[in-house]
Amino acid sequence: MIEITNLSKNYGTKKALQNLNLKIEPGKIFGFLGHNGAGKSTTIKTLVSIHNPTSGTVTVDGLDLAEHRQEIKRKIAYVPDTPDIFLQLSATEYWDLLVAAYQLDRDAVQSRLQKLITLFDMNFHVDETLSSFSHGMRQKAILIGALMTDPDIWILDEPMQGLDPQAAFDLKKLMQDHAQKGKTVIFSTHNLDTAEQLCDELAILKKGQLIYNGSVQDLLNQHENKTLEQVYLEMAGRSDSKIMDELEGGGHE
Amino acid sequence: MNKQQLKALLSVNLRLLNPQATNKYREKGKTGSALTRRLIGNFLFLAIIFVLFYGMSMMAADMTKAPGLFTYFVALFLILGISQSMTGIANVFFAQKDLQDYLPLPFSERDIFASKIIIVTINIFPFTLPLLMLFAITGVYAKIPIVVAVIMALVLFVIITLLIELGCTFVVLLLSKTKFFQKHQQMILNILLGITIVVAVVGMMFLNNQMDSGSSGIRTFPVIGLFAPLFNLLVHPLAMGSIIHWIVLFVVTIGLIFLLKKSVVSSLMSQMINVNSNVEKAKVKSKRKRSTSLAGSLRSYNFKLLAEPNLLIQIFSNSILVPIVFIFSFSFSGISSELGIKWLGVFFVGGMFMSGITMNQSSLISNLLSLDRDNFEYISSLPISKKYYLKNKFFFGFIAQLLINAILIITMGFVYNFGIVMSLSCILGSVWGSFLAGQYYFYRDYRLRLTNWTNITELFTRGGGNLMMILIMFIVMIVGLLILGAYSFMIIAVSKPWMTNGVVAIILILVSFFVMNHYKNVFWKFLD
Ligand SMILES: Nc1ncnc2c1ncn2[C@@H]1O[C@H](COP(=O)(O)OP(=O)(O)OP(=O)(O)O)[C@@H](O)[C@H]1O
Ligand SMILES: [Mg+2]
Repeated sequence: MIEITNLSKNYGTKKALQNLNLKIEPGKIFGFLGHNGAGKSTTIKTLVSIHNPTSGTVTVDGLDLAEHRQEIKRKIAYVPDTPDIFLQLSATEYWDLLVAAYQLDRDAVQSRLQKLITLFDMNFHVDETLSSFSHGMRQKAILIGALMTDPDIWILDEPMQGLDPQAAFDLKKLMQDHAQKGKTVIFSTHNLDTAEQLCDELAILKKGQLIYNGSVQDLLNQHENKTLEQVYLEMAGRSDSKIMDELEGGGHE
Repeated sequence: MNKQQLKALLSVNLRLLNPQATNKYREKGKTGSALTRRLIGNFLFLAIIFVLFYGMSMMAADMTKAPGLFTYFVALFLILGISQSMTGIANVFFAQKDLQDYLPLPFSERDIFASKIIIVTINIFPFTLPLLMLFAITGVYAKIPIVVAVIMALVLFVIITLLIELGCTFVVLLLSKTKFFQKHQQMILNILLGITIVVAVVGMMFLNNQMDSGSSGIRTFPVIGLFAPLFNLLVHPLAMGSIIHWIVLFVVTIGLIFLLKKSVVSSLMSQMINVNSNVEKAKVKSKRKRSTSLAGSLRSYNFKLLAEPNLLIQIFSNSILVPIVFIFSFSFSGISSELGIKWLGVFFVGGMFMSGITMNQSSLISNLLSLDRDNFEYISSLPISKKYYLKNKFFFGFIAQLLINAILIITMGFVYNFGIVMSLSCILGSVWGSFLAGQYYFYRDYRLRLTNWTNITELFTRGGGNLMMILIMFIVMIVGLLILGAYSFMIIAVSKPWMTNGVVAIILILVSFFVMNHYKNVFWKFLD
């Protein structure tokens, strides 16, 4: 279980995250929703040790993240929000790096790796450098790496971005299977259909603050006869409601 | 230390260090560990070439009879090594964005640190390996059995390399501990590296001034006291004083290693991460007036490109430091300050060559287009004339280059007493020379444009790499000196100097016409 307590993160004077409290349980798919800049990636980057929190704590299975980084990192696979990392390496070299990082046995993961490569249709590209890949191919290469190491906790920042429909479908299936095995899947998305389809539990962020935490079903029950899209837009909605009309109506005088 | 992790990290860093060779081997179908082996082989080859390059000049003299020359070489390579190592540390630890990418992975911090420091050490080998050579040659000349001499040289070399690295690491680490540094990281690093470069330059000038040209024309050097013990260590290893010096060296080195291990490595990564994540928060509060003209916007955009961490340092060290080493290795002694007007042409041509030496593949003008990354393609889609855009960029880089040359020439003018008129002529020559050479390098950047680089050094090593750069500089230098020599001789020998000057002027005009026409035909013509 992951417990986030009073977590805040400032970038300089900008408050990107304020006093976040969350419990993320294994066996469920946990989704982050929120407008651009709401703080989803900031939360995720704190969980995966990219950022140190300004204040607050994170514990994973009872261990304090600040004190047991190495141990905890080995339990986590992370897919970043932009796949532009390690561009100089070939896909295989990148996976080799991960094998070494997680101290796995190359031969032991080989068959899983091969299946993932085939699943994501990347057989012809394994020796090409990531820099020569299209956006979606980079995303696939990084997903394959994360899924290959297969630790208990998956943390995926907008993982479907750029994937073709087949790959997105397969990924969703893999995420469900992983949660079904009693493990943890955390992801962020802008796609409300995906959220509705996948998430057992939701956290909605708005300007660095948590405005909803609970199951999708509860949320829909609270607002009868509304779709998730309608509910979400109401909650996270914009500050100036007339702006759209102005833009389309009077804006062209 | 985990061997599996360290090995993986090193092979990644090896690719980052040498992207150009990496790409070359990839095209030949090498990947994975085969590629790593080739890169190591490639690196060894380069190191050997470097050693031979410098070693030749050392071989020639019997160092045991010239302790002054020995200490001169030690000082020279130490200065170069230290400044290179500062740059390396700043680059590898503070500029490489890959640190962020490692963070979520379960690498031990110590291995990340080790892999980086090893890379930094490799980075200074071109400047430290000649020291190894120097030590070995000196030992051999001192009639010490070859095997013993080589072992002694190796030990001394390792100690010196360690001392350089440890010293620099401490400086950077101590700095990074302070709040002030965390706030103004880039500025302080720039200043620090600036100081190193200035020290290197001043040091080199000082060394050159120490050099007496004896009546026989052979250069002799006074012994530099600080390094004299090193000389004695190698020549009389068993003397009492030498043994004490050996012990002191060992103790100091081991002490430093111990200190580093105890105090720093543990807190190092978190410190680095702190420092690095602080960079992001640095808010860009642009108080600059919003410019309304396209030229104005482009200029301020080009200025912002310079904010790339370490770009300026790299440019300055490559455009100033390396040329200065060359310029001062050939000394211009005996230039009279009362040169007649007939020498103007010689200085003009001198200025042109000067610009040929200071402009190279790491100059701003040779990288400006690649600095655009993906912006360039995007800009091509905008309703701006591409030719206008490129011309604007060219002149931006050209002016930067002019500033560098002007500063160098004015400094040289003072040191060697050229006088104002000759300095001006030299500066004008460098203006014209930079314009012509700029055509080549600007077009080269266009041809070899890289948009997806992650570390600025990838840009500098496009094409022939560093070795090629130094080789070209060397050739330009030699050819330049020959031509200048011939020109000067003609000025003195021919009774009517205006004839010589006239011929040179005609040649210059023809060459200029040819160069400009060439780049107009292969490059500028095709835009729009
Ligand atoms: N490296 C950074 N430096 C400064 N500010 C940052 C940085 N990263 C994020 N921020 C700020 O923190 C806030 C939250 O950003 P975050 O990346 O967490 O948003 P997000 O919810 O992931 O948005 P998106 O849907 O666009 O990915 C934003 O206001 C952003 O400007
Ligand atoms: Mg995000």
